[in-house]
Amino acid sequence: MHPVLAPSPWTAYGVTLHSRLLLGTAGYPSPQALHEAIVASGTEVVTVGLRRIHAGASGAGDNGHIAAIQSALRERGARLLPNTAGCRTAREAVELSHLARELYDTPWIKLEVVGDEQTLQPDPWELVSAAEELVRDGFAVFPYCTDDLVTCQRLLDVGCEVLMPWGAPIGSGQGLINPWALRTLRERWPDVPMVVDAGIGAPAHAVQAMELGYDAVLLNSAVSQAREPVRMAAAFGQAVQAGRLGFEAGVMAPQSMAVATTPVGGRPFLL
Amino acid sequence: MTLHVLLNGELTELPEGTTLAALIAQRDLTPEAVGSAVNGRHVPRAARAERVLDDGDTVTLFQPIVGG
Repeated sequence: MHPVLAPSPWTAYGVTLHSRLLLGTAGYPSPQALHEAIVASGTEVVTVGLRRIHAGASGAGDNGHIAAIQSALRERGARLLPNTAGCRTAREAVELSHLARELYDTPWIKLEVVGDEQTLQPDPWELVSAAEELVRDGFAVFPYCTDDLVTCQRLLDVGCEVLMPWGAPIGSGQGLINPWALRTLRERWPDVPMVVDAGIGAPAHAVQAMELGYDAVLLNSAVSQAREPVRMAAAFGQAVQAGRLGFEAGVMAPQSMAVATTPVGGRPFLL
Repeated sequence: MTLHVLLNGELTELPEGTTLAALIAQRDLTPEAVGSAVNGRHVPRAARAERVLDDGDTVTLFQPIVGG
C-alpha cells in the first residue's frame, strides 16, 4: 500500500504499533475461530486474563484457547496485554498484576477495578490507587476507566502513559454513548495515547472512535459474539484503518444547509 | 502435625513443613504455568521453595485464560 494510503502508526509505552485494534480473546466458539479471528483482525495486541485453578484440577483446563492465542501471536508477531478482570479493590488488582507479569512475562497490564456490579463501571478511587502503585513497581499500566475528565487527569498524574476510557459498559455493544466526553478527553490531551475500551458493538462504532482522533479501540464481544467472528474480526480491522485514515485526512466541516457540488453556474436553461 | 490449608477454596490437609513449591508439585501442575499467592499476596515462582505453609493459610493458584 502507498504510504499515504495507510494510517500512521501509534505508540504505547515506547512500542510502535501499526494496528489500531486491540482484541479480546474471550467467548469465541472454538480455539480455531479465536486463532483465525486474531489473524484476520490484523491486531498486534491481544488481551488475556487469569483465574483460579479449580480445586482438584490439573493441567491447563482452558480447552486449548491459550494454545490458540500463542500460536496466533507467533503468526502475527503480536503481544499480550493481561487484564485484572474480576478485581474489586486496588489491593486485589495490584496482586493480580504481579501474578500476570510473572505468568505472561510482560509488564503491560490492562488495569480493571470494578466499582458497580450492574454496569461493571470502574471504581475511580481504587483504580487510581492501584495505578499509582503499579507504575511505581515498573508496570506499563493501561487503565480501563470511564470518560470522566478528572479521573483521567489523576491517572496521568500518577504516571499512566495511556488512557482507556469506555465507550459504554463492557459487553453492552451500545457504541459511544457520550461522544462529547470522549471528544473532550481527546482535545484536552492530544498527545496522550488513548484507546476506547469496551462498549463497541459494530464496526461503525470503531470508525466513530477513530474519527474522534482516538489512537485505537479495544473490543472483544463485538467479534466473539458475531455470527461469523472471523469475518467480523476482518471488518473491525478494516474499520479502524478507514476511521483513522479519515481522521488523518480531515473530515469536512458540516454545513447546516445544502451546498451545491456540481459547478453548473446556475440553472441549465435560461428560459 | 497436620496443616489445614485452604487451597483455591477447598480445605486441604498437608504434612507440617510443606512448602508452596511442594504443594504445586503434588498437584501435578507445571510450576511455570501457574501463578501463586498466599493469603492474597503474590508469591513469586523463585520464592515458592522457601515459603513454608502455615496452618490456616489460604493458597490461591492461578492459570492463564482468555480475557477481554
